[in-house]
Amino acid sequence: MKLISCYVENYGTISQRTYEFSDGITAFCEENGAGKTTLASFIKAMFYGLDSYRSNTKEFCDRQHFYPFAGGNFGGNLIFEWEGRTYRIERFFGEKSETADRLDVYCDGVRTDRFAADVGREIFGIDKQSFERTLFIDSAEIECATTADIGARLNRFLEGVGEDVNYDSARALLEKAAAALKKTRGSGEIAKEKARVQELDEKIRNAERTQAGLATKYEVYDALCAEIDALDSAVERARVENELLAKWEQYEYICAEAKAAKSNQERLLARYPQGLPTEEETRACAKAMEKKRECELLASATVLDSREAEELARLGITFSVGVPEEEVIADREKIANKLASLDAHICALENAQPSERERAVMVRFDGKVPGEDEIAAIKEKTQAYRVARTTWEEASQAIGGMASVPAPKKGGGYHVPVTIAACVIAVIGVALLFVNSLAGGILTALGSVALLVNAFLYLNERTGTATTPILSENSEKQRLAHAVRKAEDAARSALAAYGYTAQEGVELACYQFCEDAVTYASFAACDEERRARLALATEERAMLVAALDAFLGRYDLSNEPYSALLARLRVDRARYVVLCNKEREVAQKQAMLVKDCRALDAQIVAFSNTYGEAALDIQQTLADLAALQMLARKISEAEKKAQTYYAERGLNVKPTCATLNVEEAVERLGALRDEKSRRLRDIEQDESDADALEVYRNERQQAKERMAALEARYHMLSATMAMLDEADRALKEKYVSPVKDRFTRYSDLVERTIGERAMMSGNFEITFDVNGKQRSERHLSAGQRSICALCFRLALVENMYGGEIPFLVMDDPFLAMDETHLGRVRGVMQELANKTQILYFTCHDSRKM
Amino acid sequence: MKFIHCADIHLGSRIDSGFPREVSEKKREEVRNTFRKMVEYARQEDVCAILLCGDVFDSDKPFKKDKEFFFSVVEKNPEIDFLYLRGNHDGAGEHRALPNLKTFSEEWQSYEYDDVVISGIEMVPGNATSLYSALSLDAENKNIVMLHGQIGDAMGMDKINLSRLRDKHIDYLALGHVHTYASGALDTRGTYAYSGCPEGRGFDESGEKGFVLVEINEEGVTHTFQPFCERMIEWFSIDVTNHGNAYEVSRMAAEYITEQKSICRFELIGELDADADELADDVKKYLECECFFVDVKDRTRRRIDVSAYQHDLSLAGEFVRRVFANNTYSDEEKEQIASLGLRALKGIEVDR
Repeated sequence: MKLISCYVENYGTISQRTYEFSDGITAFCEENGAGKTTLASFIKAMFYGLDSYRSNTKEFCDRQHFYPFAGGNFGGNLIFEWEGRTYRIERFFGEKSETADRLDVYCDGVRTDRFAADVGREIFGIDKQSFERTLFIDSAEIECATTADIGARLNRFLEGVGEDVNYDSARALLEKAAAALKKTRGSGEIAKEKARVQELDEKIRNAERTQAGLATKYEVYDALCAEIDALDSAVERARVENELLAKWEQYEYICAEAKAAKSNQERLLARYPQGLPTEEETRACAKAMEKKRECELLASATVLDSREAEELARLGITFSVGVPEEEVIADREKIANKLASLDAHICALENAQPSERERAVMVRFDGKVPGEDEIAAIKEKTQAYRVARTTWEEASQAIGGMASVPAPKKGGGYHVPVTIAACVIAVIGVALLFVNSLAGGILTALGSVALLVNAFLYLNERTGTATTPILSENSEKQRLAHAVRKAEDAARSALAAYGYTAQEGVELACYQFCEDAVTYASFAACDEERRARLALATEERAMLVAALDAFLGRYDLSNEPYSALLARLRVDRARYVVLCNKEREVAQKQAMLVKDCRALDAQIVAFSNTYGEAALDIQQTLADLAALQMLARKISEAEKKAQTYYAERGLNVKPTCATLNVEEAVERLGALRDEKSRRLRDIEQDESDADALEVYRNERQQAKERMAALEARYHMLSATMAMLDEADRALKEKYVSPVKDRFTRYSDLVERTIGERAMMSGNFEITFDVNGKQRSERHLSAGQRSICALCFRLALVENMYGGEIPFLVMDDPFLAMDETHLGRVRGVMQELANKTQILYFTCHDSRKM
Repeated sequence: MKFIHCADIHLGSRIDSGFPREVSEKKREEVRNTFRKMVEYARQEDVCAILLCGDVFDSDKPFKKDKEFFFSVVEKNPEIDFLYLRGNHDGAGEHRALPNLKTFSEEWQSYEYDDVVISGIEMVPGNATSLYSALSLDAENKNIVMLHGQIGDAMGMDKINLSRLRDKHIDYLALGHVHTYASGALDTRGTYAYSGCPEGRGFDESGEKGFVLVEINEEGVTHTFQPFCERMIEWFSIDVTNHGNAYEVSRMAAEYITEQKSICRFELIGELDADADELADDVKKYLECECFFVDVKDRTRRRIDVSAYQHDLSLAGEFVRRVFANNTYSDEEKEQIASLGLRALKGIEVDR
């Protein structure tokens, strides 16, 4: 295999450019962006084409990357030798899809159809990815080899996996997934589902038991319902029967009422074997009896009662001498009145008392009555005094005043008693005018005169002022005063003989004396007259008393005042007349009542004879009549009611007594219904539980399905792990030994280059023999390790391609290598170029080969 | 005159298909609701009778609550007759004496609605082959026949031989047993139809569900399928070849969802790159907000060009070659193993 040349018409930044490839190393040293990577991609694209992409393709693929910006044919050709022939691959690409791609392969200038799109696969025996991993070596891989575990990197390279994933990580992912499903301690998802299934199995078994028991419960429930229905019907029937019986009882009760009424009716009628009077007849009889009774009562009441009879008898005795006429009694009453007046007159005369003045005058003049002479003498002396005094007073006035005036003598005190006495006399006189006009006239005149005189005197005294002249010191005066005193003393002494002290003056005392003398004279005259009249009255009275006594004595009336006796006589007479009249009336009435009683009795007897003695018990008969009337009505109503009731209730046949005790049956029904409710609740609960059965089964089914799916997945994961293990083993068996052998061949080259002998383990771990000890490649420097990595890569590629490496495309792989190691690598590269065509791209002369 | 033909309600049946418990509960409730709403529809549309062509209950001994539900619906709609023919699931179930519940037996039994005669027979081994000859219908009537079984050319238990029902003066053959609506011509006079189940209960009962409205007038008997299910179950297969991105796949799947209340299953098929991620979980997460419940099955295959590894000198090449050279595993397993190994070798997590 040898690349000869290529023509890039348009590919990325390269346009219409021809590259010639020589044997050994063909180095391209160009600056960045000149198109080294583009050319490398172009060579790969010539062999394997470009992947299509879509708008949603995430990766930035080569077709997108290298599509020429300026347009034009996208592609070119590549000429190479293979199996002794020269081939030319012409490829042009569409922008996005392979469908627009065009591929022509020429063999020795002749177009051949030997190859399909994947020319490289047929030539190299590997796919595009393997080609990329083997024949393309870039700095990144060499760089990685210098910084990381070479063994691991080589393994990854071999496995064709990425930086972060490899067999171990893939295995770990699978194990993790499997472990989640089935953990060692049975806590994985499968175990959970299994436990869930078991739990549901238990629930289902329980629910199935419940469901199985439902049939029996339904039977019991149905039987219970049937029993309830039957009992209900029986109760209903019994109720109907009872209602009918009750109706019959009511009907019979009504009939019994009628029967009882009839019985009473008969019983009552039995009392009247001769027939039953009508109510009118009975009431007429009752009325007759009542009247008779009233007559009898009236008859018994129409007599004088014992008191009246006694009174009548007593009065009959009193008036046995005859009943005085009313006028006689009235006349006698006048006499009695007159007698009373006379008694009063006599009494007044007998009991007439002198007045105080008269009594005082009588006392004063008791034993010494002044005569006319003595009265005149006293009057003269008094007159003398009055003259003396007048003289004295005149003399005093003539002289020119008086040293002292004699105190005036008091007088006039008699006016009041005189006035009273005069009034009394006048009143008495007036009173006597009715009895004795003469005496009354005298006394009235006397009193009137006395009253007038007294008044005159009093007025006279009131108009004149008597003063006692008081003699002055002059002699005349004294003489006159002495004469006054002398006259006064004379008068005083005369008056003193009759008990008058003249303290109030001589003149007044004289006046009183005169008055008293007049009064005494008048009194004496009156007393005389009184005595005369008393004698006359006493005589008249005796006559009247005798007449009255004679009259009243006939009726045996005495020892009481005549007026009272006469009044009693009048009353007794009236009573006696009344009683006598009554006695007559009673006799008449009784005669009439006896006649009425006889008539009524005849009516009653006729009634009794017609209807029997029993009918005479009027109240009873009337009650019986009413009762019979009521009974007749009652019987009629009851019979009518019974007929209506019978017809309305349809009482045809009386049922026998109900055999079912309804109360007990209802109670039993209640109990059965309670039991039914209880069982219904029980059934509902069971049905609810049994309902869950389907849910449980459903859930169990789902759980089983989930478990089956998980187990299947676990199975798949296990199988995947097993297959992955198997693939890993096979891959390693397939590559490790040959690669190891070839690496050993390259180890000489390594030894020469880095001075150490390198060896490779079965796991692509590179070790170094340092003084007989195996050391890890970690002890190497970065440059040494990159050389080892290159050697390993070459060994691997050589093994892959059966000992002949078609070519190598090295895209500036030693970017980070120092000059020393680069120098050593150049040697290796030269040796390698002896048997392998190498296209080497670098951007710096220092790394030029 | 209108009739509703429905079947296979399967009251009280289990709801599986991998639904979570709450979804299963909801679906069971919806099976009941759909039946109740259908009866409501019948009342509003003045439907004369509802023909229940078998499998009203899921078992011979249904739960009491399911029985109570069904019979209470019947009882509370006395203006509608319920013609209840038992199927293979509820063949030994009990009936309840209700005036508007018309039942059938092992002998042909008919109910008349003017000139419409509805006949039915409950299939048992003893009449499975003889029922055809026992059927005699008056050509003058409009004849509806109710049966429960699988149509075909064979006879036997749960099998209905259509050819034996031809020329029997049947105008409409109301069938139950198949859970998807289907209809066809019976003969020159009549047609047959499966109403399907009124409500899908799992992914095996996906698609439109409902009942058949049978209308009879002077011109004859016509029937129309009425989609009526409360929530549709849908199953879609989506080829996601070259669409390894879960979000992208979820957007593709979302295009298929017709109603947000639907229950959807997406089966992802096609080929993806060998190292492509599993899509199911991520796609499901993206779709969870798009419908009531979603289930995603990743049935994609991993595209592995074994020939491409033929000349691969790496561990991956060696691994792939060995996997596909191994005869222990099936092709699918080989793909899985190769996919896992390649993902692992690329450092991609393989825990799902």
